[in-house]
Amino acid sequence: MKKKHLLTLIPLIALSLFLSACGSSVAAGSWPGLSFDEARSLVYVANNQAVHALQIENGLERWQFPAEPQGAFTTHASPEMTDDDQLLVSGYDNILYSINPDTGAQIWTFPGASNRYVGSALAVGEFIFAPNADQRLYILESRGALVKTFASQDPQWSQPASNGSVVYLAAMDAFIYAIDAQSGSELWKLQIEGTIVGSPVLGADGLLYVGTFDQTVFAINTASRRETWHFDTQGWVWGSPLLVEDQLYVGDLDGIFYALDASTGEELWRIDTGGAITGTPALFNDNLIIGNEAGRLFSISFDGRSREIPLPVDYQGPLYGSPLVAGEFLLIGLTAKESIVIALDADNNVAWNFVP
Amino acid sequence: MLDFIILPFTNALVFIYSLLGENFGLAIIVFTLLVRVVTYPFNAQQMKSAKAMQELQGNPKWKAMQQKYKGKEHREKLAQEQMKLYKELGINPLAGCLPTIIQIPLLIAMYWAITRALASTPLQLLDLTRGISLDNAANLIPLNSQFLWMDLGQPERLIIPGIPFGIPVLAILVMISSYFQTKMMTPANPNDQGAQMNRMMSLYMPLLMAYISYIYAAGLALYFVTSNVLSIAQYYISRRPKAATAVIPPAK
Repeated sequence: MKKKHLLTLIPLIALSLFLSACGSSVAAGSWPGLSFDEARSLVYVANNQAVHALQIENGLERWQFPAEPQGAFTTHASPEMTDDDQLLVSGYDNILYSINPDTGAQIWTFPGASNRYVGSALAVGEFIFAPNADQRLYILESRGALVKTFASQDPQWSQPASNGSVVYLAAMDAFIYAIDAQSGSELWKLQIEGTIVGSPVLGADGLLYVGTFDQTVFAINTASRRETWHFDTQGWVWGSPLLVEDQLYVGDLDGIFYALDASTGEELWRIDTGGAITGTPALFNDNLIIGNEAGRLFSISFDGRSREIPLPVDYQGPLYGSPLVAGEFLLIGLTAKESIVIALDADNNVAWNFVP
Repeated sequence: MLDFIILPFTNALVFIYSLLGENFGLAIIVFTLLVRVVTYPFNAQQMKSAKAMQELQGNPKWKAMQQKYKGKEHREKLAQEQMKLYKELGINPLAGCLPTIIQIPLLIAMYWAITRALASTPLQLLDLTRGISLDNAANLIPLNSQFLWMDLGQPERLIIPGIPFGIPVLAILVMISSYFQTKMMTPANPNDQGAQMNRMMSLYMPLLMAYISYIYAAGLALYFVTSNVLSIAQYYISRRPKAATAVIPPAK
């Protein structure tokens, strides 16, 4: 090629590469999603271009889906098990996948959405409820055939909650939708304040808890369809609350972790963790476990005494995801280094790690 | 790296979006207009330089020089003579480069601002929550990415019933408008090396811009089209003869 062609092309190629680099960072736009299959003693880790099935006792990989990186497939939502032994994988490639949890083989796909699946699907009875960023909830029968779609005004990023007969969908349009789990019809909807990213949590007494970007945690009475209480947080609320008996635990993007009375919304205590909290706490050995963006992992007692769990330097980095209790281990999804998940034992020592 | 531009860009885009009835397409168009206003002095300089270079092609001295120093063996001498003539006529041949150099960080910042504002992944949304400083941000997010038939956060395709593939209308518009825009800046003399390089640019640039528009978010392509159209309009307006300077021939 002539020199003048090269001189013209070099800045153009550089610009193209720079933008391409931007594009690839967009693809890896989230953190690992974890779920535990107690019956198989398997942990499923959805991260970037694969779902890994790991043996809980040692972290060895049983299978990977897909076996080789495949097209535009990426995933970050926690894989969801159905009652009839399918593993549902939400793809950023606009496709919902059903996987055989024993082999990792694909059973069926649903390619009907026009945007990515950021949140996990939910299986309720014979139906699958898959929220999508194209502002639709896809209701499928258990073999992937589309039954119905349910539209909201903004994207749907969070996994719905259900009591078996009603599905509660929290969309980014700040609406809570109650949907009949059999017919897929809207029963009622309630507008609250602020964008909702985290999943709602349903209590046994029918109170539905959800945090929003309006710096608020809401408790909604699903029987009366009214707000029971709301609690003003310091920062925007991203993750889902954790309900333990009559207490509710939730963190915000200012790094504050709160304990609330679940029936009244009264604040019991708060601690400042020093970094944005995007995950949902886990209950491990009678302590609450939460990580933050600053890479700090905390173990907090029910009366608000916190202790930091030091992580070895190889595993340090932002802790965005929700910790997960799997058998006798506490699993932590990682974003910064080679390992994407570590298992801590009861003494908070690293039992195993997994590098894809 | 470019956060000092990206953050104000993102906030400005979201602020304009909130003023324009939560229409992100209009926000991009208005924001592009504002960017063109702010960078007007640089663009005007580029236009002036392009015009001077084009006029130079008709200069007898320039033509004679091209004839006299024809051939590869006189290339160095030709360059020296050209530089002398530039100096003599007060033309800075590099003056046209500055706006182009400024455009590149602006383009990258715009790409990031659009991507960040539309936040289609959790990490992007987290970035946005930190970077945005508007009071009503919690109620504006997520931004409505729909504009006409497009989702501005996704590569654009127009689906027409009966046609089995989506038509990338914006990418085509970007290619056409980029071609005219770069063509305007290209001197006509085929013998001048700089002009030849510019002609390469007028060939490659539209293709590259169209490719970027084809694979990246439609919001960026909308920025390209708007920016190109404004640039073409500015060029034609700047070439219009000024009434105040019209010369009236003396009566005989």
